[in-house]
Amino acid sequence: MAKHREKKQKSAGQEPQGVSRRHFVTTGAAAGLGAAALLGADDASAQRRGGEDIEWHYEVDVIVCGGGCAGLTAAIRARDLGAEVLVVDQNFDLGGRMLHSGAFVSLGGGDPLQLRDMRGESDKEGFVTAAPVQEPAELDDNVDLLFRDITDWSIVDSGGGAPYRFNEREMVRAWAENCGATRQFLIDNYVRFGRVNGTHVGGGISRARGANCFLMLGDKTDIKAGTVTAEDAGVADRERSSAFAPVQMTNSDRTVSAGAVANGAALARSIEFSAREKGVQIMLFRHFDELLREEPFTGRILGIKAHYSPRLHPETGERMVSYWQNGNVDERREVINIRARKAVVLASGGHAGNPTVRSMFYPALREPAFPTSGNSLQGEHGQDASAMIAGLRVGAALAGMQQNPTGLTYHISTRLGTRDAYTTMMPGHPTFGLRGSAGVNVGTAGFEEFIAVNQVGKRFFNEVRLSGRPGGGQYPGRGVVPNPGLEHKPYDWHNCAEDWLRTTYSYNHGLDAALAINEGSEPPDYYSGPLWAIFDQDTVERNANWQLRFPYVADNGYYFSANTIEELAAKIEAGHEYQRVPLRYLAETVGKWNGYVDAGKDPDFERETDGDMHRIARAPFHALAIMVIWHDSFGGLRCNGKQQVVDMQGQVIPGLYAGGEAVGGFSKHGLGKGHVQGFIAGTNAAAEPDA
Amino acid sequence: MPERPVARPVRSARMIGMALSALGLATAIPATADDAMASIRAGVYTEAQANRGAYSYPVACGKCHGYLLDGAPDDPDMFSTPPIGGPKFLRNWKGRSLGALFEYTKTTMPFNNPGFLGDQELADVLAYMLQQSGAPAGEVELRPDPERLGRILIEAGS
Repeated sequence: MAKHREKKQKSAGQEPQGVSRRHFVTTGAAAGLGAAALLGADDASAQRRGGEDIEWHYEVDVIVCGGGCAGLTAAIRARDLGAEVLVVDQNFDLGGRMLHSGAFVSLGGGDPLQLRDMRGESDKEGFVTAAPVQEPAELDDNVDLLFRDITDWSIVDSGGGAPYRFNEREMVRAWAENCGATRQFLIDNYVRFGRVNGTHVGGGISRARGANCFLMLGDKTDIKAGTVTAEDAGVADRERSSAFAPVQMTNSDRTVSAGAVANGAALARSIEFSAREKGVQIMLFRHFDELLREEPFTGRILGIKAHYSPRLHPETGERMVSYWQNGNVDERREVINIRARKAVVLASGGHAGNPTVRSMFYPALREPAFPTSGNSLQGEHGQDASAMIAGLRVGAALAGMQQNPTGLTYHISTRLGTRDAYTTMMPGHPTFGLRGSAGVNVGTAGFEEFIAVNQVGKRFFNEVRLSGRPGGGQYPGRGVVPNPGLEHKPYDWHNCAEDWLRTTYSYNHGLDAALAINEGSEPPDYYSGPLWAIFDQDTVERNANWQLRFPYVADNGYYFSANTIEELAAKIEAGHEYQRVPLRYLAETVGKWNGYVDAGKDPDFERETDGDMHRIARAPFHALAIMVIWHDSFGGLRCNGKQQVVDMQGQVIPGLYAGGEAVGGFSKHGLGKGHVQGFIAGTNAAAEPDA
Repeated sequence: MPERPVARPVRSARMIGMALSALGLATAIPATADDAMASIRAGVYTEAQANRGAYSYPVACGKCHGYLLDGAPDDPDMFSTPPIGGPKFLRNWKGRSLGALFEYTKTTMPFNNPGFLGDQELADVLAYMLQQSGAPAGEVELRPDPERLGRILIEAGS
């Protein structure tokens, strides 16, 4: 470890050196101006067929729309191959949802990490001193096996979905073939991985393929050295996040060594640091709106049109500032056109934050009361289907439309009392004010402590089962992920034999009841409305971990307290942004419930079979918002094995690539999909001839 | 935290068979006339062992079951889970043995990587779960011996 600390470098909070030096020379742009790699409008006036009337404000080789896991990987890869690259992102900071993720990156196919752990070796810096978690046999992987796993028609999950069956074959073959190179690429760009430990959802279940990214706690935050301060990691104070890591990092001693902390910040900040260091240019606050093509449905993609999307600090009203600034291009014109000499890479995420679009998959989720994960971090444009919408306008095809409703895409969170219920975030990150509260994570155990009511104040399901989600597919005999004692046979009919599926089925559909049409639903949208956990003061005293104080709850419309049930109902109606109707049955529901508790029997939902029942009788009474979260997008643009977007005729749209959740047809959760697709897209985009 | 060699999972077909039997008979207590049944309240683990278990817990269990053992995942990407500490956990498992819990956990957990913990380390984590559930520590460590574990009964809290 000492070896790394000897290296002389600036802390991560300072600007790394070396950005754009080559470009300063080649373009002669003013030193210190982040736009150095970009040509001004006058320089970019040369137009080609179909684009004559477009006024170009910037020009680069490769435009990457979105600075998350797919986008930053594509950008660095294209930059490594010599391209001038501009990342355009609507947010105030880079990282997308990678930044708030768990950073569990599942790749495989015999990737360098699997090989490292098979040999029992450490990482090159010597941080990883924990022994390998997996047996060599569990890591003994190859591309063919990985490909078979992720196209295995026979795996059916416990909600009855068949996630691998519908994966796009050419695209996932390319993914499997590029996993090894992408793992090495990430390692080469400052990403540190702990021991391989199982596999992430959708990554194939016959081998261990996933590992978390970590940093080591240290005196300063220094990506090159691999260290982060306790304050930046968010481990110094249980109630404090940081600008560096919106989600507090977690202990990773067991798979790395003492002092290791892991989560998406370790991954996102590392590759962001590398991107900036290598001279990738970044235009924040810039929402990508349209693709500009030679002709509406034919010819090359010429560039993009993008609008200014400033995000203001919730308390100060000032424009927010990214964690690092080197490489940023400060452009504030309302609408600009950016020309791509080689290609545009769409990596702007999925559609989970766009209720109109996502309702194409599940009409009930037209309900805007339920945002997508990380909406404070990402803002109103996060996951807004921009890639899908722009792609469709130039003739792109879609894939994987049926893969969203697998049961993994949306669910009920156990974190109550905050709009942003997927992730935790404490004060200390600039966007905390947008959520106002961290929320109270009551766990599944907490769901027997309250009654859950809909927008009219009626119960709708057995509360204890409400947060249940179907698990991933399993091989017969409880052989989930690598387990050498059991036989794993991809493509085998026994895997989905009726008897086995009867054993594993575990979806209780509480979510569907929560989203059902109720007495408060009105045409044409029939919104189901918000959901509320109702409980009394005895509940609070029974559950010492429920802290009904700031930062867990706040006066933000997601928590209410009152001395009578009637008053509580009135406060919710007055104070919650999506409570459109009175909770007119709430008092009656509570009365009825107390009768059920006294009788020890709940004739409506048979709660007595699942847990204790408690009267709601002692003031003050409380209400916490229960949130439905739509997280993944598995449907999106259709791509071939080069991550080129294809049209409805199966023809490549020249100059257009996509990766991550902008792409459909691969129901793999998490980062492994985005990084590899970004790597492939960046590789091929950089190789395009100059237009 | 102490650095310890990591016990490697040993999974033979025999062990799996045993485990599945344990799963199938999870509510039966394998007591015979000669087997004295003990309670988790009789001091069946040591404080030092529970502390070792606390080291293994965050990565092996906490991502899904949470640092409070209450089923609130530490990693938001993970699914919500049942509590594995505290009164609700004890209630869910009461009447069954630590042997049943040991085999269930060994063969199915963590869900994304069953058998992640070796036998000794798993026993340490069970000790931690007992500690966090209010069961008192004693003088002797909880050993990863299925037969002995099968004679320790899980009882709900008072």
